Amino acid sequence: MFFHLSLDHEVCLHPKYFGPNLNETIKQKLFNEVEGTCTGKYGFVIAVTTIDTIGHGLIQPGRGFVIYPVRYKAIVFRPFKGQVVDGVVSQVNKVGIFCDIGPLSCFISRHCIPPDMEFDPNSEKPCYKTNDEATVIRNDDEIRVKLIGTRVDANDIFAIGTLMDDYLGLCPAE
Amino acid sequence: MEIRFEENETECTAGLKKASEGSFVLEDAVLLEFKINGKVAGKIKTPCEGVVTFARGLKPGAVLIKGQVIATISECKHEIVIKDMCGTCGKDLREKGGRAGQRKEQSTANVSMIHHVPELIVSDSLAQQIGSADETNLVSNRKLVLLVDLDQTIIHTSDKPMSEDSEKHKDITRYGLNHRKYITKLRPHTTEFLNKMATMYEMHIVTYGQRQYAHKIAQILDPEARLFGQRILSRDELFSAQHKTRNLKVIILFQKALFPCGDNLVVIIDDRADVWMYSDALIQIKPYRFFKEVGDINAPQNSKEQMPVQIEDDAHEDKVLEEIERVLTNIHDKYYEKYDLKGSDQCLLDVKEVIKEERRKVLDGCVIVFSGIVPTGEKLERTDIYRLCQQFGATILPEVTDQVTHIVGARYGTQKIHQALRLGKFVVTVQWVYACVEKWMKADEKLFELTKESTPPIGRPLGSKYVNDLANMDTIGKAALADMNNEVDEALSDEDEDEGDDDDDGNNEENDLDDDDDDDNNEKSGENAKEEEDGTVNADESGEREPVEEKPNKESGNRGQKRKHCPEMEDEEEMMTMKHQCHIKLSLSQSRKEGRIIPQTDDDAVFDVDDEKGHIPSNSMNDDDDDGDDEDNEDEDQPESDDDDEFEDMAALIERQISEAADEKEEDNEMES
Repeated sequence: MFFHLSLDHEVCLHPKYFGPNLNETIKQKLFNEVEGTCTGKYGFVIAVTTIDTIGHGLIQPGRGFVIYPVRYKAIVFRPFKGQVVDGVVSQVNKVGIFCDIGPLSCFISRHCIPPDMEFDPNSEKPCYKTNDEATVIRNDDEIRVKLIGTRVDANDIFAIGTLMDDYLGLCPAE
Repeated sequence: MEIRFEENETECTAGLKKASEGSFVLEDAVLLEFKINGKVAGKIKTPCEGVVTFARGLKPGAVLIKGQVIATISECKHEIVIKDMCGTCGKDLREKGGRAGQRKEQSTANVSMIHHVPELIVSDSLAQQIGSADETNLVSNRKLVLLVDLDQTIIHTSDKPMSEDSEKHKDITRYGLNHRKYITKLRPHTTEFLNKMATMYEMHIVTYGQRQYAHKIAQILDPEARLFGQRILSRDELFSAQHKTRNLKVIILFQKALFPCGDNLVVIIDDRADVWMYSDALIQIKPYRFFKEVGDINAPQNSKEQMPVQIEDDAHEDKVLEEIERVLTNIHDKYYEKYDLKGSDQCLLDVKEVIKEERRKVLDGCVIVFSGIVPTGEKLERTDIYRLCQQFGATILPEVTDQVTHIVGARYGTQKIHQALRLGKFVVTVQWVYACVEKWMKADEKLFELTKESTPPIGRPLGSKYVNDLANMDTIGKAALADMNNEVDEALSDEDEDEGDDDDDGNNEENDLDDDDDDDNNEKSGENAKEEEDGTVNADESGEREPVEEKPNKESGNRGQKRKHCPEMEDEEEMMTMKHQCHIKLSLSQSRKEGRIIPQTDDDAVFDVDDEKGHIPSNSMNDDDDDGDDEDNEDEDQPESDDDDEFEDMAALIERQISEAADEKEEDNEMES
């Protein structure tokens, strides 16, 4: 799920940046440091939307670096158990399918793939397919997945999904 | 738990299944619709969560009778686990706040089946199931498995710059990895070899290189991922968290995990036999060396030289892969020839048997006697050459008899050789054996005839790595030794000069660049000298001044005197210095942590009583605290330390202040006395 959250971050700046473009530098540094990261609590920070306040900088004793507390709003993506998401298949093997849901990687075990689909190691690209080849899931295909579990670490999230429910599986080509 | 059909209505038929076999369902999930007279009349739900197994013969349209078992709901066995989460039910198996691998619930999964995702583990039974499916698939495609080593087998990689004229060689790729530049040369014939093998073998890369490196090379060899696909096994996977032992056996373990149904179809090519525990499935290849003086870059090495590498002279005449291609094709053909004869109903034929048999054919019928090759006192059966010859089907006899066909000799003129010549047997060099082994073909004896002119072989063509490495090792030259001696003498005679220490340090640093091993000695002797002067100079004055300092100073004084008598360090003293150095290193690292060089150990606490002196991080100071002194030398020896310059400035400053203070104090002492 996506959220628009107010978050805090501390930007540590070298004294050489003190000058007319100070605020711009801080913003740039914030974007670089924050966007694309992941915290277990809030999920993946997708994009910073606004910067609310840039607080007073604090000079670090003995170093000359300055730390600015920045409060900003960002769009975050936090996957939850039970959520249905679309992903892109990144790898197909005999134990299951790996797919990427944006920054989140997800594993779908062979138990969670409809039983009429079987692994075919001999085709050009390994794939899961039904006997009549009506549906074939291979690399780079888009699939709809229901997340059945998430592993939330300090700076990464990993998910386990299933294709065994109505309307899950290969997304119909548009 | 069994789910039964409980409706009282008659003439019920089963409708659509709403859950799939083997899937995990939550409580109250619908399992099945049932119909009365063709219309959906109701749903059957599960009262608990679990894995569904439907009753056999339950199909849409089947008649349902009251009390009939429709499905069984069982607990999830967690057969597929990734990152401590069950792949089937999604349950988190990790203990709360636990580390990776700490599970609160037992899972049956313990085999890691996918090459590059070691976190993904499956249960033994599932692994067996998948493995046997793999095996049947391979057999039905008439393929075998080939594990391919990278470094020195099909490629040679150098991390050193290369001279320009070598550009004319083809199949050279330059790339950057981890901020380092690498050059990789494919062995001649590699592309053809791999393409040909791909039709007969399912190929896997198994390498001791890093994951990124392995994938990079795979990309070079196989840009479309047709040959190897995702089947790349690198060091990162081999030494994953589950296999902490950095043991060569790990690779065998992994082989078991990848092929849970046994390695009946597995053939290996590698330039080293030891990592595979001399497996019968291994076809050892002569190591490929293209860049001179570059071994296996993924083997540990310390060389810092950045000389442009030369190219091995015979590198482009390397025909080994063509030979190996022939051998592997032969093995594949023979295997399936036998397989067809045998019929598929019996258990799977072991390719190792085929390899063994083919190998034996190479020197079949040869009766070999060694002359001058096996050192006296060593058991014939234990030598490598014996093992090799036997593997390749030769019979080895200790003495020359009528049956003997070949004499393998190291040098001309031994009794055995004369005897053999008289009998008209082939007399060949060891190279003949290696040539046969490399090509898997009996080499022409004429080319390897042992004559009076032939010289004993240098090194071994197979796995000659060590010999070359040893030959290339730096030795301490006479000049360097003399320098070191001079330095020690200088240091010993320097006693009276205050700047003595400074000089020493300078020298030490210089020598550091030369060679690490020598440096230890050097340093030691330098320190001894310093200690000596420190001890002797300071013992008297400080003894009077500070009662607390008495003990350590006495000690150092004694040590100093001892050294004076015998400057060339006796064993006992060496021990002491060793201990001393250990101690220094300890305290040094400790003080490093705190960002300053201050003696922190108990011994030092005694010295510390003299506040000003105890805390002096000076290296040029003539000071009672010999520990502190030595530490500084140690510190100087680390050229990468950033603080060094700053530190030296500080030291100089403090030194000045201290010497002033000391002068004052001495004056005070004199006044008092």
